[in-house]
Amino acid sequence: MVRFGMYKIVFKYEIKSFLRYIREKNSRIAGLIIGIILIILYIVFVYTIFSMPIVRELLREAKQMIMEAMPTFLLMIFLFALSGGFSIVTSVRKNQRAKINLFLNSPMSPNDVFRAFLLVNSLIVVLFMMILAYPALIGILLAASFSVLSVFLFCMSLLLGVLTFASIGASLGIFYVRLTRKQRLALWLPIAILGGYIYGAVYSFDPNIINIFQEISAFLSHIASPLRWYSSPLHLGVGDISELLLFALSVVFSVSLMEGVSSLLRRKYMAGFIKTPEERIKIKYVSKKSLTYRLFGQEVGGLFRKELRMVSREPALVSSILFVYIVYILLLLNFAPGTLGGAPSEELQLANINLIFIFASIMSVVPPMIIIPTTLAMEKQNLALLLSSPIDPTKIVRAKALMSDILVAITITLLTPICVFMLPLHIAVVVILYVAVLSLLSTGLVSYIAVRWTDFKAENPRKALKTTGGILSSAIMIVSIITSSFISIFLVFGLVSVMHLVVIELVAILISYTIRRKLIRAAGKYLGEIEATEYL
Amino acid sequence: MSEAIFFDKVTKNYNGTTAVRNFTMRVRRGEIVALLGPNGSGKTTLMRIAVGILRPTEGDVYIFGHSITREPIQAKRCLGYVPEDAYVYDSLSGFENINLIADLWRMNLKEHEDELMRLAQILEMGQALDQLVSTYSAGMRRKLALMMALIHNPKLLIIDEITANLDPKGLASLEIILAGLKKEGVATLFSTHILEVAEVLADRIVIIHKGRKIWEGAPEDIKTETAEGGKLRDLYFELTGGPEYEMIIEFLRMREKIG
Repeated sequence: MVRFGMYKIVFKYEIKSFLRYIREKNSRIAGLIIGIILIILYIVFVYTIFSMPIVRELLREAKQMIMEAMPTFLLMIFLFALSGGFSIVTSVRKNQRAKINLFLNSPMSPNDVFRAFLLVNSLIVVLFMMILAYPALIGILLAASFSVLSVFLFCMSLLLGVLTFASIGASLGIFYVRLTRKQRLALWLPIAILGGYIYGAVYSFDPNIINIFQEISAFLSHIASPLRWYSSPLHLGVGDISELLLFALSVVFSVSLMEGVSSLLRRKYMAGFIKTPEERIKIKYVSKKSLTYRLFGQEVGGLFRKELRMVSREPALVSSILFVYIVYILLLLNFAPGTLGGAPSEELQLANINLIFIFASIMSVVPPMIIIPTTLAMEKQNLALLLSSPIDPTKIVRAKALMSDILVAITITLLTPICVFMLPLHIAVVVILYVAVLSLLSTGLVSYIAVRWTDFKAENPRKALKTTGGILSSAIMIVSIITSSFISIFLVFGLVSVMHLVVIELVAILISYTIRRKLIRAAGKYLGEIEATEYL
Repeated sequence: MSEAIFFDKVTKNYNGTTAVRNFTMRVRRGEIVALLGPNGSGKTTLMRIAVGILRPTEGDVYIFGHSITREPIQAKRCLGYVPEDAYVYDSLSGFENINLIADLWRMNLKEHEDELMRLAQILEMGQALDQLVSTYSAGMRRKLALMMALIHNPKLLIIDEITANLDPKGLASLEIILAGLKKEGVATLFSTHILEVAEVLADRIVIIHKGRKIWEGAPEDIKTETAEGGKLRDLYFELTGGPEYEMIIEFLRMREKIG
């Protein structure tokens, strides 16, 4: 028997805490208002687009295709919901165990506690996806001449499906704490490699991957596939009774899954199965004569080693870095050959060189953007440990910049053979030198931005950069892409000689290095002045 | 230099609220001083100013003659700080945390290996040092923070809430260690809510209330200060206010009525 009074209490406090969170800062209220305005604009835009006769006509013609493709689309949406539910518990709304324990200590039925916990977290995912997907989806379906009843039932079916898969994701998130860091890495690495491969292959229009997708799509559209059951409302009118039965089947499937997951979670949780494992790391004395110690001294060397260990023991961070690099290599490999074979047209040559330049520049800016703000936010209260120790705070920033330099070095190492073998040598030299300039500059800039605009109390270190910092980081990315486009145009059209460009880049490396040092020093000075109340 | 730490007219304002007001105090070499006061009286703020993670609005703190605001590196080199909530890296092992401290204080940990292992044995941390800190209990984290503060041989120890998360054995071990360090000339400034610990351990007691120093003296002075010749507890309640007896009785009566 479900006690709705209990859900009311849980939801009341969730809403209260959300409103309190929004009211805490004016910037959050402004963010909420901007968000609502953007949603309204989005809905108006969707309405305008799908009211256009030509769009309606095109969609009407594609009605059958939409029906057939819907199970595959639902697979994507449900996978997204699953990862959303997982992220909500593991990174966005951490400390869920404390909440569960609080409710378990009250005179509530444990069944209800777990049901409510899964429902609250899944509803957040549902709300997010409804805002994002529903306006466009409803617009497309209505424009494609599906009946209002069909669209309504399909929306309900989709909502239930998202709720189900988000709650599975949230449960997996709770079970996730049982895994050791090595197990987490072993779990994430294949996912990152597979994800990176699919992403890269799709964006380079690999025909093999498209064939595989078509086969998967056919399989998912089979009458025995639950995804087909969820899309049954769109088939209403074709075989009404059977489609209604399939729809009912999707409801039963969802309810059973949610109840099963909630029951499993309760049983395992109450049995003490879900707890952090003890992890042993072998004590290993590292010689003080390691390269970083010799190059940068004991303090920076020690801090760098700490950064390296912390990052390598953060499976999600490692897998996201790996994902970016796999996509990067695949895209570079796919774009580069066009510049070789035969005598490509000037446009094609420009496009290929431009793309290599753009990806190379993105990859020089991304490492500092990922590493520096994240590792800084990961410090949280431990900044007190570092700032109460007898070191210049500049060294703390320098160690984080060095971490990012490692990734830039990997970028250049991967880029060099690709450029040397696939591009004319003079262009390869320009690209590599450009990456060096850009990475030096961006590391300095991002270091300062990160220290100046990081929320040290943020729950999720990967999203700790404040709005201003985020905007400035994005500006760096945009400027680097625009600059790289200009350089590639200059190169292909011979507007500037390669010799001149190389000399300019060499001078720019020296200037960038000086700027980087100054920015890191400024960041260190600012870090030293941050009061403990900012992070404790 | 006989002064280990000197708070020179320290004032700290937070967003219009004064947490510490014109506070002056000295701790000499080899002296153990207890800082007492109710919650929110400014003890932690004073300690954070002393270790350089908060800046005083007015005044300064001198550690062995070095100003914490103007010569922070020289000042910090002399001190070991144990905060109430241990500042330790969860994703590092206990040993790796200690190694980091060794690097920050530019010391060769190998030379102190025997010392470290003996300290780990005393605090019953020997087996735990090769585990990730994320698996530690609150008491183990606190013991690790103690080891991290002691391993670089500080001349001044600052311990916030000395009894926090320590079991009786751990606390007794710490008391003996502090007494030993005192003989070597190491000064200790600690805060606590357990008045008996202050009476037993401290050479001098300082009571602060609402950011002001309201009493300072040796434990022996307490008898002469209190009306009934009583204990530190009596003096403490006299100065900062004791339990609200009338309200407590009223509350218990309310419960009786409801029951």
